[in-house]
Amino acid sequence: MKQEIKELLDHYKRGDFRALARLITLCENGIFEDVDEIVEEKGGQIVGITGSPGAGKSSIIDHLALRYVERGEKVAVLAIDPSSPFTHGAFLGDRVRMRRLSTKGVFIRSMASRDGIGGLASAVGNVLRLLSGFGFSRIFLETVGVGQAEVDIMNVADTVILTLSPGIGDEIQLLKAGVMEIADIYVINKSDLEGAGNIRIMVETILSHEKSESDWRRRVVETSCVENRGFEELETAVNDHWKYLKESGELVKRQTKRRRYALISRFLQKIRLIVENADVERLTFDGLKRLLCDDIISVHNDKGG
Amino acid sequence: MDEKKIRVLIAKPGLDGHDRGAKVVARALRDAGMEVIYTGLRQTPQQIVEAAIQEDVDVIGLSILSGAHMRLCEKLLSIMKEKGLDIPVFVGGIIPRDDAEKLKQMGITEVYGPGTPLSKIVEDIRSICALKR
Repeated sequence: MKQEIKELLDHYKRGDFRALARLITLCENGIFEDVDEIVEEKGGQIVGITGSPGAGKSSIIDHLALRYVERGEKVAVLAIDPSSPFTHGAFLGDRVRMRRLSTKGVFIRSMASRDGIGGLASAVGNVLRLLSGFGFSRIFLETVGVGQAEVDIMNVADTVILTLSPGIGDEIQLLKAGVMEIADIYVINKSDLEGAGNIRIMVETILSHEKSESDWRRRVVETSCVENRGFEELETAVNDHWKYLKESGELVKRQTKRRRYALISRFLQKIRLIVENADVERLTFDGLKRLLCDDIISVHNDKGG
Repeated sequence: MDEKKIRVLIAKPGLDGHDRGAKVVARALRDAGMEVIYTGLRQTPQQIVEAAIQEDVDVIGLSILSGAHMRLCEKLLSIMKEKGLDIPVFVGGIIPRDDAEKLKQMGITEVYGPGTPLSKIVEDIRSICALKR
């Protein structure tokens, strides 16, 4: 292991935010990769929040996280925004809605999606592990604004919240497969606006027809950030789901899923790099496999084994 | 992904509510391939330093149009020193020429007034980050 990472890990273990922040950057840049082999999860709840752009994900985190902070919990936020497919730059604006948290000792990190698809960034698995290992009791993970099919959040979060708001369309939209299916808790945000009640009825109707494999009864909660309403109910739902995960044994399954996802995204990242640097006009599938083997052998030799 | 991305914090300290300039600069840096974290309005120097640490940025850019640039920069630099955070700080806004000189002596890397080409800001940030590596 590189000396720099070793030193940072020492500080990280002593609870140093700066070391944590540096290690996250090294994960993002592919320099610190084997996080799962070095850092243990410490069992904080990972709460994923997804939904379309402008639905209120960041504002909901601001309200919800504040409640946990006021109870004396250690809270972190990891907020993802998209990278440009052209310049690879990003405008990360989730902190703007979380100003109250930043004065209360909450660790907030903005992350560009870079090569990630599915609503997350490819380093998310490793970064979540770093946050969990740091000892945060609640970790809020905000996806990029999603459409209908970006469902990766279900592979990394313990609890998934889907944020909906008035004006998203009719029941036909809610009947579509994908994002609508993956939530443990549905939030109808902006409930101060007209139409929120209708969406609530539509979502509840759809859920009542759903055959679910688990015993968790999915909740629908109405919130309004401008009126600061509904967050007590949302907190209860999040806590109840956490309790359910622990008591039912489902939590272990979610942790396994998370580990699997982190390994797959690391591996895909590797393949992507190889293909991007190859002459694709001449590259056959067998050729790609050979390049991958060469890469594995060279890494093996670097490690001195 | 071994190439290191440049991360920039764009912040608005103090009590002025005009953030058009900050957003235009943030957009230009984004289009130059950087990852820009925007804090929003009315940040205290303490909050800005905290955000810079958590976001692990390479550069801080401040937008100030309130006239309080001397006090705000002095405070920010002193908190950075206290926390051992040693990264370049750029300031943009309405800054009298004499004050700009004083800010630089204080430790601000560069001061940009109205009419500065966006490409100059991009180039300055690129070259200072290249130096640090």
